[in-house]
Amino acid sequence: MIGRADSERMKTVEKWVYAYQARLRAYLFSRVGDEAVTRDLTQEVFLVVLRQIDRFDFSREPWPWLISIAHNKLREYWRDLKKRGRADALDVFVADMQLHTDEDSEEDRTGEQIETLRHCVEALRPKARRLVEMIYTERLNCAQVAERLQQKAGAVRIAIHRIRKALRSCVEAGAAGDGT
Amino acid sequence: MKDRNVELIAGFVDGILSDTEREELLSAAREDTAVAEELVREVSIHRRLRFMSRESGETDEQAVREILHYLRVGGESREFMSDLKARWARELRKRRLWRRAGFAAAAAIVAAVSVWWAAGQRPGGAVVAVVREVTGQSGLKGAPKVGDEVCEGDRIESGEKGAVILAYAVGARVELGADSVLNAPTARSASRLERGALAASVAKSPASDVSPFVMETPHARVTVVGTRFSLAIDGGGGSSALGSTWLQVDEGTVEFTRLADGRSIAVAAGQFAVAGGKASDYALKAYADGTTWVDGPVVFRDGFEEGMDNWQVVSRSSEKGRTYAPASNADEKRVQIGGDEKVKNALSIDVPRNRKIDIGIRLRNAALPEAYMAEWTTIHNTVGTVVSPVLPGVTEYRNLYTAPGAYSIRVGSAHRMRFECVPAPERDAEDGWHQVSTYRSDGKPNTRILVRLTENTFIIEVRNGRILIDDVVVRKLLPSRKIRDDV
Repeated sequence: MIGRADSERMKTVEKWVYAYQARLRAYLFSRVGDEAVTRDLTQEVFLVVLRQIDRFDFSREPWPWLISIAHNKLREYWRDLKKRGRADALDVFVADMQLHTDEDSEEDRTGEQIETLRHCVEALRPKARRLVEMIYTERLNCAQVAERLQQKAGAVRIAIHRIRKALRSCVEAGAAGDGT
Repeated sequence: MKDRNVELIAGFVDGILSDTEREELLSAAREDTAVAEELVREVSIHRRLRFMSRESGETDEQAVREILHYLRVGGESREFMSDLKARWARELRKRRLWRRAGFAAAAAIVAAVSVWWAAGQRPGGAVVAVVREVTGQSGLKGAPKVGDEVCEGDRIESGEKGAVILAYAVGARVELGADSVLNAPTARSASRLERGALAASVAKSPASDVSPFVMETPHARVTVVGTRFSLAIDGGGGSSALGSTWLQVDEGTVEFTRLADGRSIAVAAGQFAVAGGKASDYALKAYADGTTWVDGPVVFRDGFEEGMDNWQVVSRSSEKGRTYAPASNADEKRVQIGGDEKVKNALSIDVPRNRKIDIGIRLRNAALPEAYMAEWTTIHNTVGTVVSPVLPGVTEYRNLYTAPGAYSIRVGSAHRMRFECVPAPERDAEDGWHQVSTYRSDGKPNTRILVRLTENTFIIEVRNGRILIDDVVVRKLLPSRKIRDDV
């Protein structure tokens, strides 16, 4: 029989929401950098699941399907932004590059990477960790941080870039940070 | 990597680059893969840091763990789920393309339905429609439920007395009639009626670049943008070489293409057209011409008799606008159906030119009640006229009279109102007679009719005025015990 009653499909999707929405949201946020958009896109992904769940092979894991839907949603999102003049060629370039990378990788590890990243941040030297906190927790921009630390904005920008680079290495190594 | 590129990447992440600097960075990234990769990785780690800090917002490790736990299994998922359910409900509502009251009522009276999906006929693909209504009894293996999705290439069969209503994602509503087979469209092919009949209502999109809705049969292709039409296949068993396709247009204009030779005609509202499997079958152009109201003798050629049972001669008074009824008055007895000496197997209609009566033909049994009822739009206003039964041979209406609801009747051609039936004082209410009176907006009496409802018939006796049956929703006509007695 084709189709499922709404209640049945909703039950399955609900299970998946509890299992995967945080992971999916983490991935989408890492790609769009906006909370509201992330939430919306995550819901869009699950709406597609609701529409098409009858075609899903339940012998398989749902995550690869969810992430492929997410990739399509991201494409639509960036296309739409560009169409409306709210993203320029650079934004779209970065988004495309990210999507290519994501699709090439066998498995999305955003969730695990964020856990690892947390440990990496904790392992930073106090000065570097303070800089990360000011920018990401207190939401200051580089100019504001520079003013507070009485440094040049360019120097702060380079410093945070180096910290991020170190964190990337840390995450990619899957180990605690190197104490930058 | 050049320091300049590092500065640009850092500036991009910080959101402070000017347009010129953004162009500079884009150019650098396009020219140097290393810059591009560095840019992407930097953006990724930046966003993950933001996400991570948003999640925690606290430095206490225990608090972070609790928040993460809550995020994954707790209230946020519940809230998310709640929002998702609301959005899904909205989407389902949007899919209900068929909202007009008339349509709703018409579909509500399709009864004795049995429909099933052909086993093993579901190749999958994108969702193209949703099953909007399945009325009557199904009970067959694989019978669809309301809300089921129809995917590309799905095959839908209705039983001998079945019907199913589909809401297409592209903005069309298709009512598949009894003993019919419909194949859903795919990326490469249109919807295809293989057997039986259907009625379609295609919403007109405000966008100008919307693709037209296309429906095919073994003999013809129908292309529309915003219209209502009925389509029926007459014989042939699904073979393109046998049988024919009959088209009736209720609203708008339909492009009707005969597949045998690719010839197309425009069929307008109130017109009919027929396409046979071979170019020599059924003179498409002639039929199209013949669908206009005529004054004087008209001859339809080319084997008309093959589909004779499906057609009916109707007439209307030229002075009373576009209302028409089956030709049965004494004045219309000159109508002849059959061949003459010169043209065999033809329909000949002969109406004196001095008579202000228009003659036309129409499908005798249209696919669905609404189309059928359009034939009976007017019961002429002679006092005491008895029309019995109003809907001859349409036994599928029986459930209508047992379902709760209210009658909605348009009075004359301009007014529309809802009214309730009450037992008729001068008739035996036990026998099912009810009185219906309608009033104009100024309170003056407009129409008084008596209605008798039994299991299989719906009889109206017009006492004064005239009525036009627009749609029917029964609220309560008889106590259910009486209905059962009637049955």
